[in-house]
Amino acid sequence: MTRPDYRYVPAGALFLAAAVSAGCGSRPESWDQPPSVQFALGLSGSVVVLDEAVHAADLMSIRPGFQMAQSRQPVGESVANVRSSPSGDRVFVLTRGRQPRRMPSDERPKLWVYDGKGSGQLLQTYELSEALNGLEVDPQGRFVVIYAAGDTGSFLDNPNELVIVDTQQPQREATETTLANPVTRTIRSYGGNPQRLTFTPSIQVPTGQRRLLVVECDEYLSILDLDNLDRPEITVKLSESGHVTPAGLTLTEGAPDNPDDSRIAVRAGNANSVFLLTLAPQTKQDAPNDFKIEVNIVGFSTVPSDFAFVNTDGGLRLAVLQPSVHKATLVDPQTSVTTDVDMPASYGRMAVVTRQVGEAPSGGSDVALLWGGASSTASGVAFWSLGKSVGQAYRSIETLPDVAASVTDIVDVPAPHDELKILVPTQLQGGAGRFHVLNLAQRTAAPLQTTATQLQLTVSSDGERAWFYQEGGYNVAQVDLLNLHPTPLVLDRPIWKVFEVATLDSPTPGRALVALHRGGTLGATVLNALVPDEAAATRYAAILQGAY
Amino acid sequence: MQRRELGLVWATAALVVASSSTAGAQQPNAPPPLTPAASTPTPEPAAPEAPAPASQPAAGSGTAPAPSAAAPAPSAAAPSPAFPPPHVGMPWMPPQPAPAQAAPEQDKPSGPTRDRSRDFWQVELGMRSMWIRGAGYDPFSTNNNLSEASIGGTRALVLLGPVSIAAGLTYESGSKDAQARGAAAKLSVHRAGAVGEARLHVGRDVYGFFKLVPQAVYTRASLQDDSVAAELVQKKWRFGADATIGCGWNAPRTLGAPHTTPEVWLTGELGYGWTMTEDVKMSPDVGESDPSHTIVVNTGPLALRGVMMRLGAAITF
Repeated sequence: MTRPDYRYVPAGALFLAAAVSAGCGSRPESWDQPPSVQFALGLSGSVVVLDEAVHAADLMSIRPGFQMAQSRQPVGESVANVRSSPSGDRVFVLTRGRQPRRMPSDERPKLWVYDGKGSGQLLQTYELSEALNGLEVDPQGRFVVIYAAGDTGSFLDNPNELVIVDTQQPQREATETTLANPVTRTIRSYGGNPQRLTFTPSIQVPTGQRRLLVVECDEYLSILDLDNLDRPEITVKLSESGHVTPAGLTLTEGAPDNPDDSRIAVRAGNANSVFLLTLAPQTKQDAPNDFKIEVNIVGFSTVPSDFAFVNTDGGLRLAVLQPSVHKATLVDPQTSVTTDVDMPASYGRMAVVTRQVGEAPSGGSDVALLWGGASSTASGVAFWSLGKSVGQAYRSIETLPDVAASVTDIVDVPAPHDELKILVPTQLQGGAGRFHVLNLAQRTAAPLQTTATQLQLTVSSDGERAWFYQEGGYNVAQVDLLNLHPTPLVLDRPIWKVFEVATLDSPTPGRALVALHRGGTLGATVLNALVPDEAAATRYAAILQGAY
Repeated sequence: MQRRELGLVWATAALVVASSSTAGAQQPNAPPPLTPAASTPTPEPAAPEAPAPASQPAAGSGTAPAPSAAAPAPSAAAPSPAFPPPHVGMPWMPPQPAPAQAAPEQDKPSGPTRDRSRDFWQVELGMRSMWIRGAGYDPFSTNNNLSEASIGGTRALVLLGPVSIAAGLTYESGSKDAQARGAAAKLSVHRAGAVGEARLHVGRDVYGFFKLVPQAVYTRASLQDDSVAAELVQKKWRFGADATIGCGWNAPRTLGAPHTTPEVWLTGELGYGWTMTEDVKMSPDVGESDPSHTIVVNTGPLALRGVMMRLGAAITF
């Protein structure tokens, strides 16, 4: 018998091994990563969910028929902060990038800008040289300031450095005639850090209209001219002893015909003082800024809790609340003369509601809404008519009897129903907790009772509806803010967050409620927000499923 | 592979082997005659009433004319092969004269017999491996491999010299599971195919083949994602086809094992598997009364396409 020829066996084995090894590829690593979602925001026309496990931003918009469309966009590693623009048309995501970087291709810290109106597009990125975690967005949506807020985790960082991004411009290097974008500024420091940043609206300064960035730091205040970022900031030291910490500011343009009396008031969080800063004409020829700051300090008997510039029957005043002594004080910013007004309760917060309130006083004087706030036990709310505050202070406070519970916060309702405010109670008593919808025009407060001990609240951007829900629960309720008709709904999965967004219907966009459910790879329930009916809901599951 | 599928395969194989053994027992000493002469080593004198030769060439072979009763018997020392010798380098066993003990068989009236090196029924058990590179397969597997158990049966229908053409049926089944972003994902595949196979016999121990298998492919994709209470499932039929080339080797015979029936072959083949592309749209496995039945989770288009190979063991009889 002829013996078989085994010469071809090795070649065959090699061929087989090659075929096997060529086929045994692996899938993308992202399939092995369960979702890691910390941030979810509602925007004007979409909901954004950041899935950090796979470095993706999922932007979900609602198409006609309440069908959810999903756009997956890349996002950087290690998300530090997320903010939406006030109008919800964009969302800003600050990432630290890969830390430490080992390869040139390793990602740097970045600011990512996405469209929030429904296109789901990545609009712009700005590469940063340092990993920071603070993010403040201009109420007008133009500027974004990035800074070190608290512990950044960096080996070494400069807490007084601000990175100012003009989001209407792409990233660019500096030239002889233009500044870089983003532009980096280190504000003068007296040993403190930035604690709070405030973008002013366009305000009158002696040489014209300007937008300012006011940086409240420990012990001092810095003011940057956003229209002239090449100019140095103006720094105002609040105390020589170094024990005064700013706790909030308010501003006024003063008299319309006087460009020299715009003022910024700063209250101290740990001193019985308010600092009045007047934006006065510059007197030095070689000064880099075309206005200067004149400081006036007003003393009080206790630490102020809130304040606002108001028009009274005696003229422009700074109204300052001192809840611990049941008192408010009106300060004449020109002369620093004060007038005390006794309060029926220890109101700690105030808001000027003149434009929305009914029976507004004649003569242009203001009406302020007073409530307790988080640090006060004052019950209810009150209207403070400033048209008779100076001359008849004792008759100027009107307590609203409809609200008995203490109010910790007030949620504004956007126009066209900005006469409505939703009063959030300090504590919901089980079975008898009450929110109130305050109608400023009618000066009435209608209760909304709930059996829940904890509720989340979101108000639609068109001011028509409020949505109440309990995180982890199944209940969500719509309240029509026009007639206060509640529509309770029970969803079939536990609720994580609820957002109302505009749909992409054309020509008239509808409104959709998007309830996110956190289990697994995230689920969602989409409802017609105008006629909510859980039986007609569109349900989605595994919306973060898939590789990237 | 599922235990149930493996059990099915082995049970079927056991049945086939048992039935084949039974058939072999009914013809205990009937090695496949290569030529009429091989079965008549000691021819009797010609007689008009002599029975037909014990072996006729298989129908359609056309290469070995039936000897007339008066034809001289070929010498046992110089047997003539049934078809041309194999290519150089391939194992080749020249036809051997039948042993003397076979002579009494002459006395038995016998019908036409088959050349079982080519003209056979074949039942094959094997394992199919496929490498699917499409992204739609990723949720269900951490690599690109899909292995399936394979069982099939063919019958040589046409013999054209060294070439034979067989047809048959095949069934293959396998599954793969993985964690897809923390959710348990599973894909089960069942294939029922019709086999068309062209074989080129190189001697008695080896044949090469080209196989075409159009098939109906049933897939069941499932995902257990906690964002919905019920399991998400898609059940789908799709058309597919395999095209492979390979070879069969009668290893026992090459290695000198005594002739048995059934004969055992090792087979290996390599080729390409193809199926239609279908989106994997999974829905909760609930009744229409459940509101979640409208949920659809689409993990993308899935096409079971790629290089494949199949290794198996076959018995012929």
